[in-house]
Amino acid sequence: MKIFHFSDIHATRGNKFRKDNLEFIINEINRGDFDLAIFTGDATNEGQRHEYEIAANMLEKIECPLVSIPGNHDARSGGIKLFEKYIGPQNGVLECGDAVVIYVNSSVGDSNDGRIGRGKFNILKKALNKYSEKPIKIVAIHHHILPIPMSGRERNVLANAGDVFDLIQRADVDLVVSGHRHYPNVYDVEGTVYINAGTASSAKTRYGDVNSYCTIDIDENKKDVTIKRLNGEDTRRKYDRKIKCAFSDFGDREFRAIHLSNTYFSQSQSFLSQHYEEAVKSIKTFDPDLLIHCGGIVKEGTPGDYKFAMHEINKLEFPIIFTPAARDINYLGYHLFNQNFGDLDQQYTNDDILIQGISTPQYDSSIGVVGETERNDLLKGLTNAPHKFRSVFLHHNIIPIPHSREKGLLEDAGDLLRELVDEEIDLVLTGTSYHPYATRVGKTVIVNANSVSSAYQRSRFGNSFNLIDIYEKAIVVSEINSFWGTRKLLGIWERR
Amino acid sequence: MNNQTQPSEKLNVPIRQFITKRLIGINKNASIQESAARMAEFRISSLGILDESSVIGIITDTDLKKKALAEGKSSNNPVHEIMTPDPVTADISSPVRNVLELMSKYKIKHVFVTETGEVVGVITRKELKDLDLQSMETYIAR
Repeated sequence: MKIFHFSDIHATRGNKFRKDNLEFIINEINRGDFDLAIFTGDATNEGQRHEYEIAANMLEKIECPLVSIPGNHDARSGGIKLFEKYIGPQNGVLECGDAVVIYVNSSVGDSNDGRIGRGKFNILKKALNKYSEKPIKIVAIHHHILPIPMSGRERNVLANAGDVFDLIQRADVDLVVSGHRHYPNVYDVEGTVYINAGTASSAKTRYGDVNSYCTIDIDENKKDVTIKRLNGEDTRRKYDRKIKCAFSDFGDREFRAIHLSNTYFSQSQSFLSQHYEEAVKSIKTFDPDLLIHCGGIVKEGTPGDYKFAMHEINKLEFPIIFTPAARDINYLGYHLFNQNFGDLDQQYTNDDILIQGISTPQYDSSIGVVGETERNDLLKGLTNAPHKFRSVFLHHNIIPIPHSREKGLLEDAGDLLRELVDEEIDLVLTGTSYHPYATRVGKTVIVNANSVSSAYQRSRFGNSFNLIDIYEKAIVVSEINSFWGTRKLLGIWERR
Repeated sequence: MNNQTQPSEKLNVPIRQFITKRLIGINKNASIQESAARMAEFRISSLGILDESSVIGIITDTDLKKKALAEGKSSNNPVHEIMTPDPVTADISSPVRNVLELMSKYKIKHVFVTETGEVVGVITRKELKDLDLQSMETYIAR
């Protein structure tokens, strides 16, 4: 099956809209032998009637079946009603041969933010259940779910991206097509390919890039995805449709780490002392080589909390490395972290393994950011490292986490994720959003830890920490309930 | 599956919403001892038995007890001798109710989960119970 994906045409009067480029793209659709075309939103620049007339006239020329969804620009000035009149429904399902396209409007009127509210989330969930047997499942949403590189600050990711991401991953969706950020990008997440087509015809491109679109060829075994820039530059990648789920050969275990976050040491009720005590006992039974604390060590950066933390941390009788959360470095914590735990960017190495920390919180601020200079230094260090297993740990999330909202996301997550995935870093550990999660983006396994012993946690499985086992042939990640010591498998992935 | 959810609602949840699509297994020619060691290593109560990449059977704690120890079988024998072939499966889109019905009908604690006909994971009776354990912590924890 051949699919054509384009986005963000931004039709309007004047030179912000490159009409010639859209005409070229529509010509490409009609010239090619495509079974389906998907347009992922921002038909107009300001949601105005005259813009809808231009967009509708152009889109009508497409000869193959077309799915169109609205974007945030289409919802400006009440334009969403005009979208329905000129383009089509906001949400729906299109069956096309072996494929089904489930599409939902993620725009919020007069806002650039994206959200799939409870009603639309349920439409998506029910449709994914109903069409679970369909050979090719496609979801179309204007706002991107995974952070996009070269996009500056990552402020407009879908507000409930974590829940939507988890829903899609569990439903074995083949393709997720999006727009919004005017920069083309493709990620493979365990067999689901997330595509951002860039902008087809807006003059507003990023980093001096040109307009772009995407073609996808799906057969029984492969997804062949090509980002096509209008300067003739093509980026083509092939992805397997099936992932390995049953594992029988692990080889010897090479390393065992405990990955934890948000201990919340304090004399307050938000520190669950019995959960921590049970977790300490449980950790000892695993006899790990290393503990990796991804921040939220203390509840607040006060001398009292730090004093208490040192007393509690000493109960963990294993080597431990830390990266701070904002709460660890607020107030006097800015000094106390260094005095008690050492450098902000800590590291563990042996002959084969590098585990590199990168500090992301900002003093007296809730935002997370690595920063361009620090990111370049980090990547340089990782690229030059001779270790056969390279890992990074930080507090903030670089992918959306279920039940969380975008506040936990690193502001330069788009660039960091792209660079770590391109560098084929084996493992990235994060520790915020109070919900465990593990998946693989490209060849990089990304794992988030729930809170070990804070009352603020969001998992039905309860407070927990992660057990990371690195075998000769596989990485195995399990969640261990702090209180009961019960174990839940989060994932297994073949070593590269 | 929080406290507010009614039992009938819980039973209608498709299992794909909370299972992990991964199965820990072992090659059919591995020994019974190696299989027991793997179950101990991962602290799990069942193991998929694989022929190449295909899942052909299951062994559980009970199989180790009844078919190996109680029978006096050598721990060096291949594990496929004590496996249950053609294990009971449920499609990943099945609701919890169907899985519980299978567990009741066959008097088993483990059901393999399939997606498009291939085994992608396992669901256990204990896992279903674990989801309720958290609600008890608040009553126990100080």
